[in-house]
Amino acid sequence: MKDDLDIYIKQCIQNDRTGQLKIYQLFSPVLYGICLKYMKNEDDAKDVFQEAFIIVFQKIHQYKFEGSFEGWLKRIFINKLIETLNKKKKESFFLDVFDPDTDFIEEEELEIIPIAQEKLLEYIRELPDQYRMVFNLYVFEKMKHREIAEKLKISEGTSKSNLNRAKRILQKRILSIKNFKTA
Amino acid sequence: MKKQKIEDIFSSIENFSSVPPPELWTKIEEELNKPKKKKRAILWWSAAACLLLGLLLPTALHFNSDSSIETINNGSIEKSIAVDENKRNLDNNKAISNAENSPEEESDIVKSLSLEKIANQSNNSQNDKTHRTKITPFNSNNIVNSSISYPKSNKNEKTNHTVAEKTFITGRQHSFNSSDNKVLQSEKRNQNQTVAEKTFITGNQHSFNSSDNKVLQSEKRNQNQTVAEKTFITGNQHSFNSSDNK
Repeated sequence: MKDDLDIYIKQCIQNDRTGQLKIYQLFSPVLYGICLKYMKNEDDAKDVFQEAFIIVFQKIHQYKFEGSFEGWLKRIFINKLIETLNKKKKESFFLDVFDPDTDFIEEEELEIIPIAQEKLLEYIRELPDQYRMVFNLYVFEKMKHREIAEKLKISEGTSKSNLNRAKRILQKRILSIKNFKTA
Repeated sequence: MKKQKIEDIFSSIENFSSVPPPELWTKIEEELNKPKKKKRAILWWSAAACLLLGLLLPTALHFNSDSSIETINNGSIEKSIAVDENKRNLDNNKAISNAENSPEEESDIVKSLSLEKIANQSNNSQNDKTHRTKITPFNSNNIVNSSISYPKSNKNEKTNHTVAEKTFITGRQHSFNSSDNKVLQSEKRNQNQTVAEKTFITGNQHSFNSSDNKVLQSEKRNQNQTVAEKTFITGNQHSFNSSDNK
């Protein structure tokens, strides 16, 4: 599998379309899933997915066959997603002031309720852009607030508050489902 | 019932994957074919830029050359002004040094300067006078060395020269060189070149050395020069050396 992947990568470096298609077929579901998690709607996710894949094929010669190729691909996609969000942020400035009184309330634990993946994805996509981005980077990419702050060009405090607010919104959503089910 | 945090609930979609719509690959393929055109466009743009530069450079150089001529002209004017200013400063320095001397010395200086002017005028009338004076600083032993040099062109033309050297030093280590009235008068009569040097040395252990031999030798060659040197030494341990071509 690893040898096959290296062959495909080398084919991609030589701008061979068959190698590019193979890479696309292997990694597109995971990468498209990331785009869906980070972007508010499917159209935006498609646009970013397309642009990011083109970057992958253009920069594939920079891959040094060290470490996970999937990780390398994910990094490119996440950077592209962050870039897109930062552009959006400029267009519609979202003032988010850190409030220590409300942002550091102890997180309430919820009863386990089986929720479909699609539903969870929907809840995430309903979050405001910056909350969603911070939540995704913190929960799925296991990034620290300092890294998130650097990437999103915000303060560490803002990153923390964004995460807490995102969690609270999601909590309310899940509780509403629970209440709906119990009712 | 078991409880868990929100993060744990959402961790189930950590490796969420979804198959993208098939049209996306065709779009990517199309995009991948585009960069070649972009490269060509870059080439065209670079060629156009080079052409533009080629056209603009000669005009820019043309304008620059005009401005440089102007600056050169300005520079020459400035230089000439600076030279005039230097001359004035030198004259002022002479006047200041004269003022610093004693009244007796001043009178001698005034006389010698006036004589020098007369000598210069007479020399200018002959149109073959070049005046070069080197005033060397005196050393700690109150020794004044003066050197007089003549340009070669004057030797060839066998012209008459007048070289006068004056050194006015005030304070403890005074030394003074001036041309003598009598010598200058004789110069006028003979219409020859005169190299006169006077040294007035006051104070203790004064000594005087003149390096006029070379000058005198050159003057001998011209057979028209007269060198007169008088040294007046006042104070203790006076010594007097004079050399005359006469």
